[in-house]
Amino acid sequence: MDREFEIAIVGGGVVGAAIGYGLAKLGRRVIVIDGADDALRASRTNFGLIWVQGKGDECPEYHRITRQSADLWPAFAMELKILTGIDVEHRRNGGLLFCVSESQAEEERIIGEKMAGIHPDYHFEMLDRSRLENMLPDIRLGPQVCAASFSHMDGDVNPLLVLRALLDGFVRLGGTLATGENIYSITPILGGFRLATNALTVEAERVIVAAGNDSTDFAKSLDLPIRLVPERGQLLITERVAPVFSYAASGIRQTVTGTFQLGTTNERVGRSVDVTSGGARHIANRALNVMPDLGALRVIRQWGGLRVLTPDGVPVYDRSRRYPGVHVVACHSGVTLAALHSGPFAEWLAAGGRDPSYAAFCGSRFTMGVAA
Amino acid sequence: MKAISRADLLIVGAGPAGMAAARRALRGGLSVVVLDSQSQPGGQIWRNACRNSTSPIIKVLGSEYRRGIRQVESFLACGADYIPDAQVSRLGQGWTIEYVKGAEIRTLKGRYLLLATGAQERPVPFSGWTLPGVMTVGAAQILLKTAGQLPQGPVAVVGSGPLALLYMQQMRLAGAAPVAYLDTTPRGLIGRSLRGFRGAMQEPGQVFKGIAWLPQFSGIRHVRNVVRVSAEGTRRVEAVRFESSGGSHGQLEVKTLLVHEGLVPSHQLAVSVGAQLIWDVGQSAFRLERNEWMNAGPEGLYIAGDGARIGGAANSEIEGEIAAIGVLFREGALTPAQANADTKPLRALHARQKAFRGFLDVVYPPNIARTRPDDTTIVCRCEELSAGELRNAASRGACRGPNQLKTFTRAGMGPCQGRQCGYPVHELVKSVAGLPAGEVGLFNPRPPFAPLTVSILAAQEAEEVVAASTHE
Amino acid sequence: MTSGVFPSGSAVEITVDGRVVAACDGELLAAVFLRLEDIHTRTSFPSAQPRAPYCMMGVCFECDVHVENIGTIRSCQQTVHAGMKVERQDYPKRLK
Repeated sequence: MDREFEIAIVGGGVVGAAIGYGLAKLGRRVIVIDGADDALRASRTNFGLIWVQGKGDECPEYHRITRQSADLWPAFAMELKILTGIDVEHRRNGGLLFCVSESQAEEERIIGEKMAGIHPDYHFEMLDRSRLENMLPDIRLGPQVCAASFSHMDGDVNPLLVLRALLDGFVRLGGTLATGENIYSITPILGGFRLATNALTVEAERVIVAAGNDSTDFAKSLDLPIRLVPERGQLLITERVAPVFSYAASGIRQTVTGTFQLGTTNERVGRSVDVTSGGARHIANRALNVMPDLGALRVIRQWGGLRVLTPDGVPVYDRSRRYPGVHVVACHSGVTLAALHSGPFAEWLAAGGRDPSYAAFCGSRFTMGVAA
Repeated sequence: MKAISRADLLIVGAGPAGMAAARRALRGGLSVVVLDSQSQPGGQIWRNACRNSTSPIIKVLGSEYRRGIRQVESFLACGADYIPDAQVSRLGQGWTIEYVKGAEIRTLKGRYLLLATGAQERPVPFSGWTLPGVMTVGAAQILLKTAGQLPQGPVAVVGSGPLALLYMQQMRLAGAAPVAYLDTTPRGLIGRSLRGFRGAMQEPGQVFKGIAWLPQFSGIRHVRNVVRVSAEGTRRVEAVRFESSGGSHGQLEVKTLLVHEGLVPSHQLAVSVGAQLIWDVGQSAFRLERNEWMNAGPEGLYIAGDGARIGGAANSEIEGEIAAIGVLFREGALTPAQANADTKPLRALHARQKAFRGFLDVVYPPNIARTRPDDTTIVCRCEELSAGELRNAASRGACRGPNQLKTFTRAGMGPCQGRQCGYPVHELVKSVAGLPAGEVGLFNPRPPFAPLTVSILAAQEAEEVVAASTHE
Repeated sequence: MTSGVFPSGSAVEITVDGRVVAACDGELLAAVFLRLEDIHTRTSFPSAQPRAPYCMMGVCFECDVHVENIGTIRSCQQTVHAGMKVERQDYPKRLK
């Protein structure tokens, strides 16, 4: 294996893999250094939504890149299929935010109208129960479901196949993938950085830290402007049934192969990825309120992960203040943003990542900067 | 049944280890609850023992099974709160058991938790092993013990080890011997037996019984040194093809093909609460780390019997008793001197059992189970993933453990949650990555460990989830 | 067809995919399937291949069937009672 690279990416999750893919496609010599089999790995707990509705309601730039990525996704899915043979099961059938009370419906309408006021091409419509019933002939809706906010901007994808296709494609494009690595140190050297892991030492002109919640491990030593507040999300998956629901939705997704994926919780529990009976009950009840017939389905698995969240929920795309050759990328919606990360964002990084295109995502907006 | 929600000691599994532990702990003054997934105690080895005690089938099942009837009767009389038909769905630290009974989840709390969950048969993937009519030897034996039933014949048995030999003997006594025993014991049996001689001499009675079961004495057709098998058929198995190490081939028409290459611990519940897996070279399997009192690391967590390391029924009873003494010692109900005095004879017996198991492990190592499956052989039965697909994904994704391969391919994500493909995937990742067995783990176990529905989870009593506000 | 060599309970009737089948009260449902001409209990996803009881101790989930008023269960963990209505778990199962 080569020991010298233009760019070393720390983290082989859906964010690091997408950036690595994009940079390798641009002909850069890139290594992705990925962690152990049992690392935290938020990418394994992704719900698979490409979600645009309401995204960035307090940060128009975040909405803009989300929308941009969602629009890039159809072509990107095709590209991955052609390159790797992996069909990531991309669909853009629209997304439903089910409302189980009039007040919830009113809140969704207000958010939608606000977004539409800021973004001229924003699409959403409020559907009443009878329109929903017409749209979902094979589904019996719970009695409390009174409306839904619908947008054709939303879609979904198989997040695990996305990760696999990105890494597979990265290697096919000439990238170097190192797995099972635990990074001990990243030290500046003349013309770049030296990265030492349990098994190898590599040198790279530039470093991109995309290590999810583990990125904060490097915050101090590399002076990265990043602060994260991990949030646990638990998920349930059911046995397979014939496809009846092909929309993206809040907390309910039927995969292309028939399982229902049900979510989720938002819990501040430090770095615990344990799953709980309270979590299972919460998720089950939430799903049954919308689709009571899901109650008869057998639950195959419950698992959990930690969302990579900044304090305001908006991504951080920024550089180390002390080492301009080190970038940090931390965001929650790694699947939604994958098409952006592997396309325009990788181009921006390849060009040095210095022009202000992503200035709205600077980490210094959190005043204290270095993680606690 | 008294509605219990709390006890000093919670025991999962009413097999040899769980029953022995319950009896000893009760004598020491603890309150004990024993949960078991079956309708009667006895575990798989003494399955249905009470009901069979008055049936003519008892003549077929052998002396070890008859011993089990007495053990089950003494357990039922010992005063433990015994909950049958209870399937553990989740364990919690400190200690909580959630279990499914009927159509609801119930909860138990205790200060000590003893897992005596037993073993499962080692998965043996080969071409056609998913066809109806291909079953494990253990499955056929459960069929015999619970329904007095033999599988549809003609039957062939492929594999090795004491359980295969015993079951063929039981078939013969029931009047329907298999058409052939396709013996996968690797060459060099006699040399290995001599090397294991000291271990064998720990249990000479068992050895003689085993010799009497050998196919040489039963008149069953014995094909030695079988290194490859495949099951052929469309809607069910119709024939088995086999190849021996000398290169000779054969084919037999069968309606049932039974397979067995030993046992592996059912480790999932223990690992879910923090027990550590250690690769056990002698057993070609993972065992669970324990101290001399069967404590598995976390305070109050104990594991006894085949669920920790394969040792057989007698060994499991010894370990169950040691674990109970360990709990009593920890509880202060026994002084160190008493605990040591009580366990001294047990430890001597335990050492003998371990030496005898070492003999069996040397004589009957897994063979086909550790042979590289053909590219087209299904490895993950639930998700229908072939060895070729999995090797390709493991290689392209540079997988160094089964969990990343699971992420990429869904291997182990189906209804069995990796109980069947766990070991085959471990073997596959190990060989693709070129890593030692101990460095490649097993799938992370995920609840629910018993099947339940979304409705059952929704109706469960549980603490409320505290939702974080989305933004600070 | 091989039946029980040792009787294990009183005779009852159940239905499998609508057909009446003889069984013994209290025996394991999987044992009933293993006496049928067609022993398969479910079909696989995605290739719809037949599967049948394999482990008989609840660790392979190949013997999954649908029982009325209970849902998807492992037939090796389910005892038989008179009048039980059983359907093979052939994919795709329907949500409603």
